[in-house]
Amino acid sequence: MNTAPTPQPSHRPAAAAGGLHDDAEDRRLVACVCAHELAAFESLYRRYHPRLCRFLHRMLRPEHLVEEVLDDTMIVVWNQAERFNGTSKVSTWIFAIAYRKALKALSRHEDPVPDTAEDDADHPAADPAERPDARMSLAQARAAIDTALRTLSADQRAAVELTYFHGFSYPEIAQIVDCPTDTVKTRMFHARKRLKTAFGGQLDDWL
Amino acid sequence: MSGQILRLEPDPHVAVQRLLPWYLTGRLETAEHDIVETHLAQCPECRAELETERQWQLLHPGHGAQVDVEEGWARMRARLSGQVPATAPAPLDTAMPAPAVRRRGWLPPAWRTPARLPSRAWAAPALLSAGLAAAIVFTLRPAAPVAPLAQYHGLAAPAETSATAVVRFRPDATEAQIRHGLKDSGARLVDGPTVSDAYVVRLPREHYAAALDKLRKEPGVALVEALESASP
Repeated sequence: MNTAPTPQPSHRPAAAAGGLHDDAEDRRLVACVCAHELAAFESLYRRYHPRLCRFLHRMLRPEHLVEEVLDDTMIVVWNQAERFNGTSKVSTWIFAIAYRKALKALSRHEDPVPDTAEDDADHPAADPAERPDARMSLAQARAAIDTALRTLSADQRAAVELTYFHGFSYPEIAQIVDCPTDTVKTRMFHARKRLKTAFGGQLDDWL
Repeated sequence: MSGQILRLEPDPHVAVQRLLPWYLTGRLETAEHDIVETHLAQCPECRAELETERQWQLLHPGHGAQVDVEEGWARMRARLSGQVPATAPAPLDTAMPAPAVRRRGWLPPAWRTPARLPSRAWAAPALLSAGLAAAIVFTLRPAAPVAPLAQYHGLAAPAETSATAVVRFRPDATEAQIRHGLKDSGARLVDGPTVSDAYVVRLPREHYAAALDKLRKEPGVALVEALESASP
């Protein structure tokens, strides 16, 4: 069907599902944390707790690891607030710390899924006979996608999560995971391809 | 990022499809957004891909780990209160936050060197200054490494009848204000100063909430944080 795309009301950032924090407020809080103001740190902790939980749950899996890495991340924020140099958003800085901590935890606890998404030969499309009933609910479809996301590499999971849920731009994701911007786009492209392959490309059946 | 040089893929379809996730979340810069929009207006294949991308975003799982923020913060607070120097603390007069206190010389010279503390001086509760300094000295003996908070036993009531809190005094607090604040709330200094110039105090558990309130209202007190639940 040749229809024009739905016009976007604005190309400026819209709040993604995870919400975009007020960076000005974050910066004010970080400045107070530099002075070791516990109340400001508590505010910052509470602002970031749900987002970091969500992100780390995607990156890791056992709940105790999520708590451990979240605590380690915020301790770094407390102890090294003066290292935030203001060239990025506070959210980018904090997520970058969380990402590095998560990778370290993964290397200690899991065998990492190799980032070989360029070659989907090892991941054939799902057998139609094994595809779940088309009447499966949205919740079940999301659960199945959740399972499929676990087959991605850590880098791909991070790209998908940071884009779809946390609303970061690809340059910001590049800062978080410390790679070139083209690499972020490539990882995301192949992650989407891999997810679609896992569902045989019949996305409509799930809705 | 303004001024960024746009390097497009040789295949315009691939170039646009690589940007679709951020087009949908509204996180493309103006130039790239316009390129995508212009291409979509002319390409039904990429519009179909856009619709697929939109469905993927709708299906993206919205749940996460159920980690309670209150438990998390309590754990973080406990971890922060344990950040005390492992080496011998500085002599008390340099550790106190208020220059005015030092100028007044509120500590007798003998007390400024904890190692020379007479062994029974703490047993004179009628001397408030001595008692206060003794509580500090008892727990800040230079030879002993700083123990985790839970192992501290101050001169106050046993741990099960008292509860801890973190207190930070104002930089301009006087010795009299500090002493009054501690005495009025029934607080006993048990640890500190930490790297953030905070002190850990023990308060009577039976009146924990009221004691916290009293401390917070003291003019010399900048911050009070409960470390335990207020319920007895």
